[in-house]
Amino acid sequence: MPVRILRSITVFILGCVLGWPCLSAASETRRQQFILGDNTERIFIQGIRPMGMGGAFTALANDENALFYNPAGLARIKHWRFTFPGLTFGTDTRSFNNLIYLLGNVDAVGNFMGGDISPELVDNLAHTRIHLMTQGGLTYIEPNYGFGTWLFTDTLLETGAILLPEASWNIRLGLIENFSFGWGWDIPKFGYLAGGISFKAIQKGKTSEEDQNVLDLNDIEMRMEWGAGFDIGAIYQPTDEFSFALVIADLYTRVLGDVHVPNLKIGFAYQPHYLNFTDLDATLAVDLVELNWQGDNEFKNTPDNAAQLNFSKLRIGVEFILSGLVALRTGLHQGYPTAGISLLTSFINIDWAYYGRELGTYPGQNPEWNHRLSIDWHTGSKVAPPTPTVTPTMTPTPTATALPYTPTPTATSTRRPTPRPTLTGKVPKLHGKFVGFTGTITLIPKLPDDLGEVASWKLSILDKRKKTRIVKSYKGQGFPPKSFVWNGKTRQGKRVSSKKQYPFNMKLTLAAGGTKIIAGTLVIVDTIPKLYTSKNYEIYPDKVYFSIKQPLKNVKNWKLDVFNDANKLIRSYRTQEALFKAFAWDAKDEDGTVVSNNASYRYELTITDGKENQILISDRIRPVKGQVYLTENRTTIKVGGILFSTGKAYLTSEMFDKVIKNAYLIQDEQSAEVMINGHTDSTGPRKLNMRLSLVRAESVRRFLVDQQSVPDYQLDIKGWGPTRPIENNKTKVGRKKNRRVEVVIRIPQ
Amino acid sequence: MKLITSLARQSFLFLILLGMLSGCNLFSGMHHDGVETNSHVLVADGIAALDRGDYANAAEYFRLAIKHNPQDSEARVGYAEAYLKAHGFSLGSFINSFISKMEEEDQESLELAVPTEWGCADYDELIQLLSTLIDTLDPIALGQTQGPYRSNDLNVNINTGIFYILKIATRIQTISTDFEIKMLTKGSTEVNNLNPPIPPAILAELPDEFTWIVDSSGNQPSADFLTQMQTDIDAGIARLQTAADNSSSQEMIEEIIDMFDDWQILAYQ
Repeated sequence: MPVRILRSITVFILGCVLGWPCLSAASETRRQQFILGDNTERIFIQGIRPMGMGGAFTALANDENALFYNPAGLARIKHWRFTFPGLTFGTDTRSFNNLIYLLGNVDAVGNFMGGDISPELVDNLAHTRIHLMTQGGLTYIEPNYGFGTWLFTDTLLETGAILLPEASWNIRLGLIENFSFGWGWDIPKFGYLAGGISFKAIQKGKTSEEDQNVLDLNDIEMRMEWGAGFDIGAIYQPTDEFSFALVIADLYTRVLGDVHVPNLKIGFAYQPHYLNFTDLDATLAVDLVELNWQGDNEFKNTPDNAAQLNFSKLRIGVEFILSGLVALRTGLHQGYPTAGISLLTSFINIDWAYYGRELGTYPGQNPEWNHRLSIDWHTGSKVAPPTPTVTPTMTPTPTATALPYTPTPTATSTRRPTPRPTLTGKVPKLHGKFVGFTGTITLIPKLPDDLGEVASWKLSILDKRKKTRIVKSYKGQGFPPKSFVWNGKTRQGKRVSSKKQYPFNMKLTLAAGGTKIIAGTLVIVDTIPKLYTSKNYEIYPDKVYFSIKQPLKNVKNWKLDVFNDANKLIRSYRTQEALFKAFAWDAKDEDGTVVSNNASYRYELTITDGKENQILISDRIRPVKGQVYLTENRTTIKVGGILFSTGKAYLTSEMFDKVIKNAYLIQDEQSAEVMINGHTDSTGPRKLNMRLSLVRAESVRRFLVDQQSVPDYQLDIKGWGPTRPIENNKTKVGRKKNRRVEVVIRIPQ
Repeated sequence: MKLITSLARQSFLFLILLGMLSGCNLFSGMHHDGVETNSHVLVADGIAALDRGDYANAAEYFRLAIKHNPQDSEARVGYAEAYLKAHGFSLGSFINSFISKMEEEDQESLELAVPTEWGCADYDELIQLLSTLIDTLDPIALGQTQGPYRSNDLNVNINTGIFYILKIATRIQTISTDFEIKMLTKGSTEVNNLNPPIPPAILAELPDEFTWIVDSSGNQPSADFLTQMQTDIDAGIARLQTAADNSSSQEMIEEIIDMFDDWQILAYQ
């Protein structure tokens, strides 16, 4: 079973299993939300970064917030980081306005205490709400584990009045501790799996009253409480860009003997590859929280609001980090917008988050708009890389040499804290064609040794569609140069296209009389626009060149490992070079032995930037000693057996495998010219059969292009109708074999 | 084509971000205030309206909630709070008025707690407002409702008790603004000139000095008026006593009861 199907099934089953509790989910009532602050009944520290992202952080979990959001995230952390301390202040808009009002009426407040009543002041205080929280934390995280301790205060005062005011208050002062561990594993053909566990404890002093009349305000008592519990979490990455997470918080948590209902959360995160090695990082995260399968006395739905409340459990967020210096976040928390800005420096981070949350019973009913400001001082470092095994060797950058292959733009990059070799690419084959970059194209003609003296020569490069049209030509007297550089532009000044092929011919007029022509097709390798696909290397006698066409930004270091067929490491290079453009392997193993010609080797090239993002390009190569020459020789492969029903032109599932095999062959041979020939039996009008055969060929081409990503320009089609039978059309078996498509692949050697 | 796709994608993203930051809730279309027939929903709507200072709508939502479930104590308390505020009640003005009257010599003046800033056109309207509040809260105090507020709830009882007292004081004003509670002495000219006079049987039961409601001309309220007044006094004091029994500030509340307990003497009238 294909791996991707296996992954899809796994994700689907995971979603079904985890999704059902949503139907019986519990929620907070207004009364609980009214009295609950942030550091309240649950042992939990809200992170300012997650709140800027709508609270969706379960699948991301790549900083200190992993301690409470998902301990499995610690498995992917590469740095150690000590925060000392992180100070956070928070309030909501209404509380902030009330505080501003009080500060602006200090005199009136003083008079009130002295018995001089200001009606306006009394009316405002009789129906007010002030919620303030402060928090100071020390945290330390390292790959696979982390711990932290936080001192917090959380004060919520609210007054309401029929006539004589009543007040509710919730004042807490306490400590929270957390010890978390996370581990991760690469599972071949399945993906990356991480698991983690958090142990947490709380000690707090608490005074809490609801709807206390002003006449009873003298009855305030502070009660001491303590509690402990643990969370578990997991992260699964089917690919590098996608993360799925499952967390059961408060799996077993007690505070003063009261057992918490577990808080089941599922999360998803997407970190697009195409932004790797640029100045922009982006993340999309989605969480579903409070998917409890049972309720307790404090968290229960009423039948009429369950459906709507389930929607309010959604958290969505996006984060953009510019140059690692400024982070912008936005999202939806319980359906309300959130925003966040961070200034990130190597020593101090300043963060602000703004988010809405629902105070009412129903989504959209009674929003509270919260502000958080955080300042933290921190230090940290990267995890030391393994000790280099081989002294680095650098060679000049071959920026304008003939490259005897067409690179396959299929490699993908890794943008995750933890590197793992998930990137694979096709093996670029060597072939005898001109290949060049978008910039300059170096052409190296191979001439027969016995050519003799040449009087003059002319090289013409043609447009394939209009074969008589010359897009570029060179000519000269005497022997042609060993190489010459083309600026990649036509005579009209247009840049040549990588989507076209350019037939060429070199006409040599011999001094002894007569002419000699060398012809072939030139394939232009364009600059691949996305960095993660910019994989290529060059092979020359006794040297294997690896180069990146487009300079990567912020490269911190890179390493190259070469393995033989037995998967044994035979050569390794590591360097701290800030800029990777090209590198030459001397085609020797560690003992100095030149590697075998035509043997297969695998290399892993890992490039790391300052943010620990990585591109890992892994591929098999077959070094070939000696120059690569122009040649007219080709190998032709004919693939048949793609048989159609009478009068039909569509592909059935039985045909897919055969077509896909063709696709692999073509993808491996990027220089291949492919002709797809459609045929019919002799039944029916000839005109109809001619058309039918063409449609059959076209359906194979569309499948190769649309489903198998074979470049369109490589494929030609032709409909032969009944003119080229391979069997006798008088028999049923014969007609069946004649209703076919044959794929003819011509591979230059 | 790629350019168009890219622009479309960016525009879409921008619109989403704009929508997210526009302050509206993603699910707001799923719920409309005040249109439900379930009292839980209406109470939640009322609380939300109360929190944002929309007292008129809050009162309407709570009223509908009570209509659908008269036993919902939370709806009744919410309605009382919203209804009072919707009529422009100012607690600050009320306290100011109360204190200023208390500082006057005739502390037991029936005008003492009647606020003039309640936005009512006249005393009859004010009495109607107070009667509505009492009718709303009394079922809670009498144990006829369910919900978070019980019959012994301090907040409900003390407020209901005070509404009773205010209603009595206001009713006095409807007869004459001149009426006041006075300390009278048996055999004095003032007692002898009362209109109508105190029946001898009742006068015999009174102590030498007693409180009585009279105006400057020696007139007394009618018997029916006084009967209704006595009913309200009994109910008000009962609510205050329940509040005192359930408060840590029992002495303070009982002082208020004592002050109005003197009005019990009016039963003789």
